Amino acid sequence: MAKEPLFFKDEGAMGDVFEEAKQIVEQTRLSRDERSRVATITEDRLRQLTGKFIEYDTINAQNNEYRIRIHQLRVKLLKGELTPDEAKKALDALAGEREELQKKYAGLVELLDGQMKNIDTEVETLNTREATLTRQRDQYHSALHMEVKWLAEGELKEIAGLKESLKKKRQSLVEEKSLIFNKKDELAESFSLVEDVIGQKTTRYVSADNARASELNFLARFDMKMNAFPVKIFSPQESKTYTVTDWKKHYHYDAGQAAPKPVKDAADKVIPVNAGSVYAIEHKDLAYFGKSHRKVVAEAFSYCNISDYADLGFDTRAVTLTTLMGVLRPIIQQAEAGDYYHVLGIASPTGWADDVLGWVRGDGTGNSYLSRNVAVCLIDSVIGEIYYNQNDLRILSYIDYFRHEFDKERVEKLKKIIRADFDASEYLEFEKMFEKTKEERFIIQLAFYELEREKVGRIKFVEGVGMVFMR
Amino acid sequence: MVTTSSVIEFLGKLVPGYDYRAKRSRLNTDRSVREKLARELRKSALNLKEVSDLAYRDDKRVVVDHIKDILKAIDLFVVEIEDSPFGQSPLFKQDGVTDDDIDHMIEFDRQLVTQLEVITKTSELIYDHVLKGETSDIVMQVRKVKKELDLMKNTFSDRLDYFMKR
Repeated sequence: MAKEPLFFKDEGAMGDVFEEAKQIVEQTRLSRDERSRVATITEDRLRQLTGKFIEYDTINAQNNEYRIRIHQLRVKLLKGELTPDEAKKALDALAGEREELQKKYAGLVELLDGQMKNIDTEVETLNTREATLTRQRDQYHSALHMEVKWLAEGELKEIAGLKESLKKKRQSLVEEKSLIFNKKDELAESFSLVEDVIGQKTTRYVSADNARASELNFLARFDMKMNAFPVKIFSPQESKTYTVTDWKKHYHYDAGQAAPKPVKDAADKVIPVNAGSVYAIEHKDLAYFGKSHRKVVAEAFSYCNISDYADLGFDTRAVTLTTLMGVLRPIIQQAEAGDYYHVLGIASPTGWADDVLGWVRGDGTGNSYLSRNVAVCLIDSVIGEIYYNQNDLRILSYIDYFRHEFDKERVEKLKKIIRADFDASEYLEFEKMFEKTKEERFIIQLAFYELEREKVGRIKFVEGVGMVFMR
Repeated sequence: MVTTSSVIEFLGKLVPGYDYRAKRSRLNTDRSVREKLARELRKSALNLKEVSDLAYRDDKRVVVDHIKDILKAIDLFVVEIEDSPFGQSPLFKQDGVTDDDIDHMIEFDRQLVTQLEVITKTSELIYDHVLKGETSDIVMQVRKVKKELDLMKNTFSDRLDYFMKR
């Protein structure tokens, strides 16, 4: 019996496979050429786009020189080495330089805008190429066109990498731009440093020793509170509260090298160092391995005009909004990039300018700072006042960590007030005490109970009035 | 000019260290190119051998004969590639070689590699179609492969002539 053919059944023609093979080889060659052409063009463009701005460094150096001159003028004025008239003349002489710098920064902003526009165009081109390649890759799904498919896939991967690096570059340009705006603001208010002294517009005199003591005091108290385990840390991003019994990620820092060197007698001077303390909750991708991701960061730091403390031994300037923006800018950017919640307690011994307080507290009309990733709480470390946005419910659980006093101290303070009031009246209403002191309810309650234990009076609940402290 | 970056890049990917410009790497480049040609031809031969086995199993003597013919040609060509006396070429002995000579050497290699790619791809396609049962015109396609192989042999002979007569 004749054997049935298994493969050569002649079910159809294979067609001109030779021509087909030629086409595939040609297509592959074209794809390869196109890919190398695109890669060369893109590399060139990328080199142009990611090139460093030489002008930026030059202008920054000029700006630094200008700032040093203004600072020296202020120091001389405060030390009495210059009369107000002489200082005014010196300021007038510097006006041209300030304008020149502002113009240069404006030019730089234009340059950055152009660069960002170029990046956007490049990303657009890459998107078009990506769409073409994706179409090509999906079109050649047969195994016969595997090589073309692989080439397309290889280029798609490269495009993804290029897009990522362009995205990063754009992000860094945005950061640089905001830095330039910050420098422009600083320039705009640079004269006020001297003019305030001429106009005797001093708000508070804080010596370097006192500033350093306040700084140490603030951080030590914050550390104590953060280590009174178990510590409750609220993460609004995850809508959960962590109960911390041990800090795995905690460190201290100070201005270190960034701080300007004192003019003389460095060893004898005690100056604040803008120290900070950071506590972070991090999670790994897997239980024990993988990259750590920040979830919540609680940071407290003290901010002072170190250069004034170093040169003059004191400072009188409250922290302005421009300065605060300069400090917050990198923190906000990092928190947004990492998508974690960063709560900040910033203490200043010279206090805060009115515009800063307005920005943080707001007036209920929606002009206060409220961010998904960053919450700010400001502390006046000399008078112990604390400022925050009362409408931001997420920061409320952190306020006590930044607050100067411990609960015990707050209760003691309140007990003194109650005792003084109680001497002059027959009874004290809880609600009236709350309205008067604006202290938290549980502190008032604790103060009442302690005074009752000390047999100063007794607590009674009166219907329609509430808790009352009476004889 | 054939020495465009894309051609060199393409050959460089197929033959690592591809470079005729430096004297010390010239001989190695030629050897690597010939090794690559021989290796790829053997791959094509393997595909065709598989097809021949299937044809033999299905009693397709005509197909077997045609493939046998091409396999024999490939075998002979591989021997020719491996044993050709390129080492004696003056191009490998002299320090300075003109750009024109380098262009010619690269152009020969490019032609050979392109023809080789077509042969390899066609043999793969033939094998695929056989597995699908589409075989009615197989002899014609096998003959086309044979024709391309002959062209490749001619190019290789021209290359040898060019190398030896310089």
